[in-house]
Amino acid sequence: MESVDRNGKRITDLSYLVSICEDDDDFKTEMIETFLKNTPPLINDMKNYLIDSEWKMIGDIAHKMKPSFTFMGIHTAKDLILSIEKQGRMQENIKEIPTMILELESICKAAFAELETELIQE
Amino acid sequence: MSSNESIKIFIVEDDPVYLKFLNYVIGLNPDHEIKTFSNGNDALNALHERPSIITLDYSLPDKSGEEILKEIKDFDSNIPVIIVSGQEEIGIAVQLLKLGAYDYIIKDEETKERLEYALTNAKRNINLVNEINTLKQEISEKYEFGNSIIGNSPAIKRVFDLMKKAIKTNITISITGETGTGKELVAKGIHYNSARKKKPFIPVNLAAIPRELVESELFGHEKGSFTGAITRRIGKFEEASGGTIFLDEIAEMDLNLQAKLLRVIQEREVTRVGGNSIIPIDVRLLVATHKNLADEVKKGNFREDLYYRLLGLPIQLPPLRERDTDIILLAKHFLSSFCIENDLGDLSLERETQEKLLRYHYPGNIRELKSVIELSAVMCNDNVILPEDINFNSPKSEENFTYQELSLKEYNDRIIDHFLKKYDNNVLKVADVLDIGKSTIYRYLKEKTI
Repeated sequence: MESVDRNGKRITDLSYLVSICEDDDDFKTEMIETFLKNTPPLINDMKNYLIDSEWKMIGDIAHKMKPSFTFMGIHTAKDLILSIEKQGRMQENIKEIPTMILELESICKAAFAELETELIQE
Repeated sequence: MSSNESIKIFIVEDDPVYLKFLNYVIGLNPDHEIKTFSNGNDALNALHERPSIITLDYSLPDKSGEEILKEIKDFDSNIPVIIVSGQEEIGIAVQLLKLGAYDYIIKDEETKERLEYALTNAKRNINLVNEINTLKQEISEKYEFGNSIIGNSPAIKRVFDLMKKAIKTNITISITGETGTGKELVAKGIHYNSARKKKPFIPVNLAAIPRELVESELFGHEKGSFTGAITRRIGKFEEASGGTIFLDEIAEMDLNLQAKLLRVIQEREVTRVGGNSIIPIDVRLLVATHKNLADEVKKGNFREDLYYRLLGLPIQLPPLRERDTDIILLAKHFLSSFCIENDLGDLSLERETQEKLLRYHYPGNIRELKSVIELSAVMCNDNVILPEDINFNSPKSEENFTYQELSLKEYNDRIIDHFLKKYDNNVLKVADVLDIGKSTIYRYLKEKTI
């Protein structure tokens, strides 16, 4: 899978994570692995809550995901996650939420591919 | 906790990515011993392990950060809790800080620096708290009866017995005794051995405060209540909250203020000068004076109703001259302390020096003895303090020369001695002052040399 966004740019930007790690590559790897392991179940949970219209729970999951997206530098998803969090918790414009979740899933898939490549290259 | 000691930190965070991040950042300091928890209940159940610092996520699966914070503070309000949260709402941060959170850090790209800064500050704070606790403990030990008040004479043992009774209750204690007998030491001894020992001991010497400032000093004042009151200031009674206030030289208080003090004691509340609000107080009262308060009541200088209020358990401190061999015990104690403080090595008191010390009547009491001993330590040439190194220079020394039962001749000799010293052995001058013949003085001097 191409690890670029619609404009052909990389989705992930690990510069912040690298600045934290300094020269500790093991920690960088652990962080990426944890993100890759932890995020797909959260997206699945969101989709499951969608079926039961549990909007607040969807908002809470989005809130929980937000910081780890900062580490992986997935800036394109930042506003999207914030909207899912806010609209879910406030139960506003809930009709938009399913589409936003699908969009988030799509961005995540692209990001996962980039990160997996990153792990292979190390 | 010194900077090299291990410090236990709990990390409470349910997001595995963020948990790993916090663990890494906090673990960069090898002195940090970290324990991680992914829910609130597990962390609360482990509080008995006494973490020094806790980092706490606001949104946890089992309990809110607010609930967990409250429970931590109920367990030990001194544990610094640093909230690390994705919540950016200021209202939540303010609420948590009000509940006693040490800091509130938002999960963003500056978290690492903010967390390191917060941890550094929290550790500095812990060090200060530990230092204060150590000092409190040291003070407490210093003022244990046996450590602070030296002596085993029957007179001082009676004082110990009364002090032991005094520490069991909150009864007001009135301490009387000549100047220099150790009234403040007894007050401190009572406070630091009582149930209030962890709270403040606030001494106030009423004779040392200008009359017009005493009320504001004791009860505080509001901003602008008088010229110079540029800020609100709490008084000594409020400062002593939960502890003990020691009003020394109580007989010096003017009658107007005595009425106000009486009201404070009766109502257990104060009103700051220039203020309207009534502030309840929980303070134990100890008072002292070198005067006879009952006589002051008779003279109309002291309110009778206040006198009875303050009387409580009276403790009369004996003058040093009535404490027999305590003089030598105290002298040795002061000598030893002075030698240690000034790196003088070991000095001792020759037997004749001890006899000289025992013969004197100490109008300045223990304070005078201390001063005499310290001077002798400076003046002595070898490691032994000789009688000539002991100099009694009390301005009151002539007032109480009758403290010992001596023959008339011995009294005469003492008087002549005193004036010869005073007038640099000028026999003619002394004869003139005492209105006696100079031959009497020469005869005395001749006998003395024989």
